[in-house]
Amino acid sequence: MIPSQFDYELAGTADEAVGLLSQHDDAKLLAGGHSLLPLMRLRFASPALLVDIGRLSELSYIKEADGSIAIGALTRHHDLAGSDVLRERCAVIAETAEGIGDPQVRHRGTIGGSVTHSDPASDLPTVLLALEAEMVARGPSGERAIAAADFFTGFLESALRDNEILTEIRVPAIGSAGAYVKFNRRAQDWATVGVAAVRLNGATNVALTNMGATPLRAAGVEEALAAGADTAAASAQAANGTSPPSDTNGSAEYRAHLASILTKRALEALDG
Amino acid sequence: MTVAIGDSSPRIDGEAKVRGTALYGIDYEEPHYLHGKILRSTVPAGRITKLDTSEAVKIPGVLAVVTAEDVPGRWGHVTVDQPVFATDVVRYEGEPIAAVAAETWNQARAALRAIVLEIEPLEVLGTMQEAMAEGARLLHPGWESYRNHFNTPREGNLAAIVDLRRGDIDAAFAKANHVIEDEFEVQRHHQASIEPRVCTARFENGRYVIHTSTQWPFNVRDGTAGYLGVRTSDVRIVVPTVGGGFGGKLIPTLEPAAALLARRSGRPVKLVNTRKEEFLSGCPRENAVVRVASAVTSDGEILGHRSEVLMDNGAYGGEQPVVAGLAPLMLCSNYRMGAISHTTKLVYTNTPPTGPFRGVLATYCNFALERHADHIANELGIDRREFRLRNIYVDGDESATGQRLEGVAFSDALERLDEVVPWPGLGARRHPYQGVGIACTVWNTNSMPSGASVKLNEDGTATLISSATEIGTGAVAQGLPQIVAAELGLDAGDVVVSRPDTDLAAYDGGAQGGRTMFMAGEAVLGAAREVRDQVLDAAALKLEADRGDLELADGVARVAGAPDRQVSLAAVARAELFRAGPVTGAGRHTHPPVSFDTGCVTGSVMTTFTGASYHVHLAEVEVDPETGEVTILRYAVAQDVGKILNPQAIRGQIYGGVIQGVGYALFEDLRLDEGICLDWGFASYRLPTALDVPPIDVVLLEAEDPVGPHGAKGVAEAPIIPVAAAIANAVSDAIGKPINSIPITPFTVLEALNA
Repeated sequence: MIPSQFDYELAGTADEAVGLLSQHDDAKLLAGGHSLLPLMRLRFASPALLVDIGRLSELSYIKEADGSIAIGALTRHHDLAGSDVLRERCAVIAETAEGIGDPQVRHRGTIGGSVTHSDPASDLPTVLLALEAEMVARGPSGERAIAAADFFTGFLESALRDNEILTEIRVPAIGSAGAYVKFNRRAQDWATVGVAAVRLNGATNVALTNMGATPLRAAGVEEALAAGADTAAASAQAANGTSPPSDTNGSAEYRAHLASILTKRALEALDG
Repeated sequence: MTVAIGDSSPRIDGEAKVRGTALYGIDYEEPHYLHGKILRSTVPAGRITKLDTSEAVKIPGVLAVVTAEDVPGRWGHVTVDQPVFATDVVRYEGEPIAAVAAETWNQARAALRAIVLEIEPLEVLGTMQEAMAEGARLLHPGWESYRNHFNTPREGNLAAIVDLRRGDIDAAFAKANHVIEDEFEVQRHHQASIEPRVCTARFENGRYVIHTSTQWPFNVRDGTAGYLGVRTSDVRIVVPTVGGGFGGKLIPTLEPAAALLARRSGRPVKLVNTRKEEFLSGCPRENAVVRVASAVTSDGEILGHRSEVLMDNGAYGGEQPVVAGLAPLMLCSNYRMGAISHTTKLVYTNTPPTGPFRGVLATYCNFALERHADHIANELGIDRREFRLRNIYVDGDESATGQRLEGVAFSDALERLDEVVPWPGLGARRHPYQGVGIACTVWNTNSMPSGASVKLNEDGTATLISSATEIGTGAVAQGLPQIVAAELGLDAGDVVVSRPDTDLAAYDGGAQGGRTMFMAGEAVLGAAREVRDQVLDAAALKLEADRGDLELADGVARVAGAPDRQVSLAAVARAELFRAGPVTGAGRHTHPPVSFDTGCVTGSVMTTFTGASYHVHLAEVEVDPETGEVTILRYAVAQDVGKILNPQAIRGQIYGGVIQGVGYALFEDLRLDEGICLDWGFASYRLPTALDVPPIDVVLLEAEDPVGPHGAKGVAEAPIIPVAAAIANAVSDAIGKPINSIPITPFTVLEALNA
C-alpha cells in the first residue's frame, strides 16, 4: 500500500484525541484501520493527519447498567463476538460481530470504527439502527448522545462533528430477541444485502444493510407487521422506499428481491 | 531416514516460505539499482500521433527512457506479431508504449507523467463478434508478412485456424435418431499470482543478466533475445523464489524492457508490475464460445460430432496458437465420437492478450463436453453415469487425431469414485434443489525436453543442477530431490537443488503442463543413475565386493545382508576425486515421437497426448432457489497419476486445482467493456476463500506411464479441468434447467430457474 503522505500522532487519552482533532483541519481518527486504510490506499481519503486512538484501552469494554449495555467504541469485533454479557443480554450484536469479515478483520476492526465509517454495507450499523442504539460522542465541550436514527446521515457520513470522537455505544438489553441475516456470494465478503430484525418495546424493528446510502429502517415492513400482516406479506415490503446500488455483487433489482427474502428469514429467525 | 519413492518427503523450501525468509523476485535487489516504470496505453485502440520523451529525460534522477525506436523488433511464440513497445498503433489497454528508469520510484513516476503522448482513437474491436464481422478493420494490417514458426493457417483477424476432420460427418448426422446441440460461453480467468511479475536486469560484459519471476527461464531467455535481436546466449536468466505462476509467467513480459533500460542507463533496473498492471497484462485464460452438435442413436451411441470453438486471443498471439490446437483433442477424446468435424478460431481483438492458465482451454472444452454429455443422457433418458460408461474410452480407442490410447483408466476411475461416493442412479430422489454432477477428462502431460546433472559432494550429500523451476507445486522442492535421494540412498535434506539459471544448467521446458516430474524427473533420474553407477563401481572396489551385492541406503554403500561391510558416500566421493575424478552424472530426456493420423488435422502443433492421465470429478451441490446461491456440499476426485511419487504433494496439488476450479465455476470473471478492463484488483475480482471450499475426497489411481520416471505422469495441472463441468452438471441437476455459461452466479441461477 502506498498512501499519500500524512502526519501521525498517537493519542494517550480520549481527551487528547479530541484536542488533536480540534487543532487540525484535516485529521482522521485511526482505530483498527480496517475501513480507513483501504480508503487511503485508493486515495478516496487522504487526511493530512492520522490521530491513532488504537491504544486507548479505556474505550474497550462491555458493561451492563440500568437495562442497557454500554460498549466502548474501541471494542474489537472479536471481543464483541466472545462477550458473555452480549451473548446473554443482546446476542444479536455478538452474533453479527462473529460474521464480520475474517479473523484478521475481527481482531483489528472496532465497533466504533465500523459505526463512524458509516458504510451502508457494514453489518453493525444496521443492527444498531434496528436496536435504536445511542451513540455517545465526546467533543471539546463534553459528551452528547446521538440516536442511531440521527447518526447515519449519508454515504460514509455520520452526525459526528470533525472534533468529536465516538466513545460509547448503548444498546437495549433485549436478550435473544434479535436476528441478523446477510447474503454474500463469497464467504467473508461485504453483505450484498443484510437484514436485522429486533423485538423492542413490543414492536418489531427491521433495518437493512446495503439498500441505500445509509443503513435504513424497513418502514414498510414495520408498518405492515404493526398492522397485523403475516411475515410473508410484510417481507414483501422490504425494498419499499429504498434505492439499492447496482454492482458486481448484484443489481438493484436483485438486491430488492434479496431484501424481501432475507427479511422473511430474519423474521422467521426471530420467531424461531 | 532414507527417502523412498512413494514417501511424503518434505519440501526443501517449506520452512523459508512459512517463515517469510524465502527471497522472491520482488525481494531481490542489486547494488545501485534503478526503479523502472512502464508507460501503458489507457485506450484499447488508437494511432500514436505524438510521443515526446524530451521533457522526461530532463527530470533529475532519470537515467533512461526507451520507446519502440530503441527496440523495433517483434517476437512471438508462434506468430511474430508483438513489439516490446507499441509501434505507431496501440492494440490494447495496458500495452507498453515507453519505459523509464530513475534513481527513485517517485522520479520514475514523474518521468512517466512528463512523456507527451497523443493517441488518435481507432474503432475498438472489443469482442470476437466485432473482430469477425464482415469487413471488420484488421488489427494487424500486415499480418501476412509476420513470420510464423509453424506455418499455421491464419486469416486477417483470425490468429489461428484449427481444423480436424475424421470420418463421414454428413452420413453420421443423416443416420442419427437425435441431433443434440448446445452453445456454451465462458469468461476470462486471471491467474492471480500473489507475486506480480517482477524482474531485475543488468548489462554486464556485453550480456544481459536478468533475475526474474518466471516459470520457464529458457523461453524468457529466447524471447528476450528475440526482442533485442541478440544471441540467446547473450541473455542469462536466473530465477529467485517464484510467488505463483499458473501459466501466466511463461513468456517474456517485463524482461526486454528492463534489459533495454539497464543497457541504456548502465545500472541494474528493477521493474515491478502493480496489481492493476497484472490484471491488464497478465495473459489470462481467454473468454470463449463453444458450439457442439452430436448425432446420436436412441441407445446413446454417438455417431458424429460437430464443434466450433471461438477463442479470444486479445491483441497478440503469444502461446495461444499452440493452445488452440488442443481444442479438438479435448472435446473429442473422452468418448467415442464417431465422425468428427471440428474448427477452432483464435480471434484477435482490441483486448489484453490472453495466454496459458493451468489447464488452458481444457477447462472450458471439458465444461462444454461434459455439460453436453449430460444433455444427451437426459434427452435420451439414460442415466448420466451409465451414458458415460457406454461411450467412454477404453484401451485401444483412438484419440480425435487417431492416436491409439493404452492404459486408459476412465472405467477404473469411475468405479473407484463410486466406492467413495456411490452414484445415486437415475431417478433416485434427493432433497429438492440438491444435485449431483460428474465430469470426466483426459489430460496431457507436456513433453518438452529437459536436461539435468547431479554431483555427489565430498561430504556425501548430492547437488542437483537443473533449470526446472519451482512455482509452488513441489515438483522441484519435493519431487526432484526425492528422485535423487531415493536413487542414492540419501536422507531428505541431503539433496541440494540449484536455482534455475540458464548459464549453469541444461535446457528445461519450463514448469508447465505438469511436465516437471514427468520430463525433468526422467532427466534427473538419468543423472542420478549415472552417479549411482559411479558410486557402486567405486564402493565395489573399496569393499572388494560384487557390484550386484551392493545397496545404497542411509548415506552408505553396503553389502546387502552384511552391515559391517560398508563405506560412506562421503568416503566414496573423496576417494573418487583422486581415482577417477569427481562423481558427477548428467541426464537428458526427450519424449519419443507418438504416431497419429497426420492427415486429419491442420493448424495444430499439439496433436497427440503424452503421459495421458484420466480423471473423474464429482460434485454435490445445493441451490437456494430464493437467492440463487450455490453451496458445494461435497467434492470428490479420482485421478490417475501414473505412479504415486509423493502422496502429500499430489493431494496438495489436487486440493489447489479444485479450489481454483471452484473460483472459475462460481466467482471469477475478468470483465471487459469495449476493450476496457473492468476488474483490476481483488476488490472486484473475487477469488474463493478457505470458507468457500467444500470437503474434498481424493482417490489416486496408478496407470503407469511407459515413459515417465517410475511410471509417473503429470499431476498438478489437471485437477482444475473438470471442476466447472462437475459443478455445472450438479447445479443443472439441482434446478432441472441447463447452466451453460460460467461463472455460475446467483443471478444466472435465478434466471435459469425462472426461465
